[in-house]
Amino acid sequence: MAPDPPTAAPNRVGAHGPWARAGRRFLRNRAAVAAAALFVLIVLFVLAAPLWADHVAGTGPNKSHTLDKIEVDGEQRDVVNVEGLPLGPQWFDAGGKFFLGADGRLGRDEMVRLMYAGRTSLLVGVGAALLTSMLAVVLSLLAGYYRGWVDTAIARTLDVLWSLPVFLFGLAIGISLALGGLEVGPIAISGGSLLIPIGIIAVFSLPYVARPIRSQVISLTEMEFLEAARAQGAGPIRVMWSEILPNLASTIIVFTTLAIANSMLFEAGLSFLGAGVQPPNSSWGLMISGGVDLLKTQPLLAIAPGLMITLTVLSLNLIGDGLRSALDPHSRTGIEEARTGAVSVKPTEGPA
Amino acid sequence: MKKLCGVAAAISLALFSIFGLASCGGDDNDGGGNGGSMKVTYGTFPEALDPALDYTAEGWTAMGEVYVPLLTYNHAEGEEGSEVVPGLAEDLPEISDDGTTYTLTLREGLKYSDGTPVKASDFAASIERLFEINSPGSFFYSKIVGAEEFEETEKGGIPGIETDDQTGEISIELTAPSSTFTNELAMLFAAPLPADTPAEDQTADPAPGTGPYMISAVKSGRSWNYERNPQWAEANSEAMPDYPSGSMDEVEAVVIDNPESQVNEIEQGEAQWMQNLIPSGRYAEIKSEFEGTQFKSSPTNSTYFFWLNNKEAPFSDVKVRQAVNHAVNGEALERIYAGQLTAGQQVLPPGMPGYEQIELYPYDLDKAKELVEEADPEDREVTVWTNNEPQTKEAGEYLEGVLGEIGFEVTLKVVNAENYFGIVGDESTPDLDAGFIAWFQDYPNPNNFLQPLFSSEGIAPTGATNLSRFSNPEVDEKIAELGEQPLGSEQEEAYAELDRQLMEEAASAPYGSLDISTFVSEEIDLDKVIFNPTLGQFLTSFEYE
Amino acid sequence: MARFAVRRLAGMVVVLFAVSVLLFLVFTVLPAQNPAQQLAGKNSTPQLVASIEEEWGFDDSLPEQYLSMMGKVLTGELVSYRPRVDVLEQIVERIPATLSLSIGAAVIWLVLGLALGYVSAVHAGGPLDRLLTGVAVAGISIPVFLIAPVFLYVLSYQLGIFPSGGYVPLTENPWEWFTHLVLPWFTLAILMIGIYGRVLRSKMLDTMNEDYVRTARAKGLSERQVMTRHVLRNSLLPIVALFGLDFGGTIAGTAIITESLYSLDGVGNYAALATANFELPPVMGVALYGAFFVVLLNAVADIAHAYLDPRVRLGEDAS
Repeated sequence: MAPDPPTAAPNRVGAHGPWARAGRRFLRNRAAVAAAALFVLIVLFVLAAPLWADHVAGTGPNKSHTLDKIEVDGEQRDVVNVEGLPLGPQWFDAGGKFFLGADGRLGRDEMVRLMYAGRTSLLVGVGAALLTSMLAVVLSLLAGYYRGWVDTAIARTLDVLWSLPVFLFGLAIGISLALGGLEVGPIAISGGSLLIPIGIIAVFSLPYVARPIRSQVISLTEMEFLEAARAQGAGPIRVMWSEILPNLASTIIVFTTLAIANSMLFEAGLSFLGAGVQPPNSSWGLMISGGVDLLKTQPLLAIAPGLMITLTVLSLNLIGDGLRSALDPHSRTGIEEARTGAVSVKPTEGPA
Repeated sequence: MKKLCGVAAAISLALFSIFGLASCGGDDNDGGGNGGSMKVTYGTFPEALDPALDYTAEGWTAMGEVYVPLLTYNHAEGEEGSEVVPGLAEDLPEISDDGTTYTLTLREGLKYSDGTPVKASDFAASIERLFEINSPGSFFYSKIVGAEEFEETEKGGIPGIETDDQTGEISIELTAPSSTFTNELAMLFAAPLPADTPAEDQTADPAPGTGPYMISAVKSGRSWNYERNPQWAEANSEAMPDYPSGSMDEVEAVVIDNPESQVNEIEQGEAQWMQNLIPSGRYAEIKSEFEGTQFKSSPTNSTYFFWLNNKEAPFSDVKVRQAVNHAVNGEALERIYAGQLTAGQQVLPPGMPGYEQIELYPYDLDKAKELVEEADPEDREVTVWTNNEPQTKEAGEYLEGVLGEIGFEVTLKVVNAENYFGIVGDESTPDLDAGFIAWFQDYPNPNNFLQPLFSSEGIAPTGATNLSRFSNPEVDEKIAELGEQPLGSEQEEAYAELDRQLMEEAASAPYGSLDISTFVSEEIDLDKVIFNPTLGQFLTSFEYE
Repeated sequence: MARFAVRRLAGMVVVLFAVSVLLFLVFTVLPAQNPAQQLAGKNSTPQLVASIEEEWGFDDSLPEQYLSMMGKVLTGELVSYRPRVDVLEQIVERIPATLSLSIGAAVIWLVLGLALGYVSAVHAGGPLDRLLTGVAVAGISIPVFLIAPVFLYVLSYQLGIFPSGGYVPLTENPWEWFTHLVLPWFTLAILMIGIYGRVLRSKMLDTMNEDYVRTARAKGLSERQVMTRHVLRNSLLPIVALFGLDFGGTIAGTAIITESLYSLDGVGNYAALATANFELPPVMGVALYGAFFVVLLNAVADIAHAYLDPRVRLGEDAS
């Protein structure tokens, strides 16, 4: 009987298995736990949108109140005054209506919009990150397993994507697709669909996630256990699925988490410039671009969504860090290795 | 220079009053006052600093007094400013009885800023140049006999224009009478330039002009300067005694694309005037602080409205269109435009001849819902189009909300402002149901609104101007007829009737017209600044207090 | 060394080519609009549109248009649609603003970032390290469009310390140039300080465990000497490579949002506006100019890296 092929430790499960140990390491990391709690709070916040809208604010995110008045302490206040100046934050003075004030000359409730916009921002961020991770894993597995020209082709493509003025391209593609939508064969996506920003962000984030994963796959493929598996007659899919993939798990988890943060920043940048999420959907980035006009008189309109993005990205970064320390305490993979031998996080000033 | 004005004025008044010499502040037409220099800011660089190519408000304001056409507009505001007066021509044109021949005589002694004398044949050459250079304004002159052939062949000149350099006589023959040709002769497109001006964009080194100022030192896309035209003091001002000479000696025009920065510069006195609109976020504040001293608001001949696609459901049903008119509340839109809009519900704006206030659809949301229910359109999915300019986007969002309330499912599409008209004017764009449009006059003639906006000629596969796709042969005939008659009170009444008819049919949903603000720095005399409905603020009307 | 440089150069050309083709395709195949229509204006007639198409070459086949555009890029005759100005001239005009932004921000982020990284590595595990790491992570997480509005609101509008935007050329008024750039510099730098701080810290921690460092300690060198002479020097290698890419990026105009929020008339802002207007010539100009710089600086950084890294240097000499 042939001996069991040596498998890497992380495959085993159980209370003393590596996953459980990693979990405990994570829980000991106070910063990471706090960040996770913050993230959960944010998710709850945006999920509570319909509750707030219906029971507290009494209005929807797109409902305009230009000519309405609200009553505060017996006094009637214009939601939008005659010269177009919107109402400032009321906090709880009007029972929670216009908590953060009116969002501009259309007189919409900023707090309600903030919550609904958050759903879109998170959805796009998570969606893009998952998509890019999946693509990155598939491409890396192919590159790592088949090597040769497959690998070269994939590596060069990633290089070109990496060198593109990503933001300009994202901008151009985002704007033109927002207009006409996309029709490829039987698939027709309307211009306002969220799939478009998700797709754009996923494609342009690819090199950032794919490079480290690919390099890890390559180093894995050089290990002996793979030879052993192949010698046993295992086909490529089997090898990729049961041998390589589990070893990638921790890298994938860490990078996906960080990719969510990155995607949210990318989306905010694109939406800010009009090439991302399109009305009637709203996102935090879109809200900021609207609020910047009124910065001098109603600063909260631009700062509140900005703050939400910051808190979300911050918590994700800390969680990602925590996951990295927990899953691979001695590893060099992490935010600090997206280029072989060198280190970087692709700067996102928006990726710009 | 400006700081010395006060002191110098006192001294010169005292010492020189006996001799009647000009004091600081400039006088109307003595070849120049003692005005000093100023800086103006523009939000965007004009399309071109070439009168043949530019079709933007900023360009017309920038070049309106540099290149004087044969006819021009009165240096006044409002209705007075819409009067056509002679420019380089001695008098208003003599029009033949059948309305097809226009005769003008060039004034004597006119020179371009480089010293070359102005000849009658320069006019013909300049019109030909419009076609050679593919000018967006060439369209206005296609009605000249032979112009269309020239457009295609670019050979042989335009036979419809005959000039005599000796007598200065210019005779133009049209293919049909036109009520707007006089106005078209007053457009910047028709300004005579030296005949040898190349048929290429001259922005980098603008062609010589005939007005009190000339453009120099152009940094494409960034800035340009004005200097006094030497030939103005020497020759032209005498030939055109009614045309003001301007107080400033030098003007620097700089493009600053952030309107906030422009406002700051004016508040701090670093710039003296900003050409583009005050950002809506600051409007209320500036108006209350500076009205009367540094800020004033003037109406424009413009109509802001929502076009509704008359050719396709659901807006092909008049009841639905009327419902929209009932549902749009001008008051709300006034606030959305931060007080810069004056609400109105007819096609022709208040300053336009033929204007009559029409209000057939008072705001009534319930009535609107009722009408929609009555009409019960099958197709309830509509797409609203707007562009990304600050208030326009909100107006679009407003319409989206309103349509949603009266029973439709609305998608909003926000397009970049530069491309907006190209996209909604293209028939191949899907889902063109309703959207925003602002129409500013090219000249104060109602035909300039009605013909492109509501006659069948405005419907085209690309570049359509009749976005409502409204088509009524009776209306078409009336517009064409009126288009051939010179504008008199009879015609004005007829235009008012047409407007009413268009509103009865609810061909579109107009909501108001824009007020343009003039915001100057402290040292400028606000009361002297003239805002002309066609040409914008006159450079010659700026002086220091 | 020479072969290495030549290979990098060749790679650079390939990348530029790929970028130009992709950009060209995005702008010609995707948009729903005919640029000739845009140029023809409000009162276009089909005749006018056709003439414009002919004038600008929009009626040529795509490959022809591409070649003609590339030709114009090389001869410097690229012209934008509205206004009709020479693209190269515009880019050159705007380089000072972008350059001022990039260099100033770069100086700040290098100095502060490396300081942050060094200090936290030296005090690794301690409270100071945790604080600084927190600061760094916060820096990475705050997007520019939160920093800029907050800065503008507090420091410019409310306190009036700094102007709220615009660029003043250095040659015109050095002091104004400076005050107008302080906020943008820090806005851009905050993100990078976080990144560089963490990178340096991470690399230093890795290096500190290397054999040769322990040897150095064993030899009796002071802790500080060990840190600076060995650990720091070797940890700077990846920073060099990273800096090449990032600095090149900001020069190339990737700081679009910063330029836009502070109304700095830079290259990035120019490209963003042109992109929004579907105008290909300026975008092509900026993208190629940008890609050129990024790749060039990347190559320079790699060459510097290769030179500095004793393993590479000695390896080459030995062969």
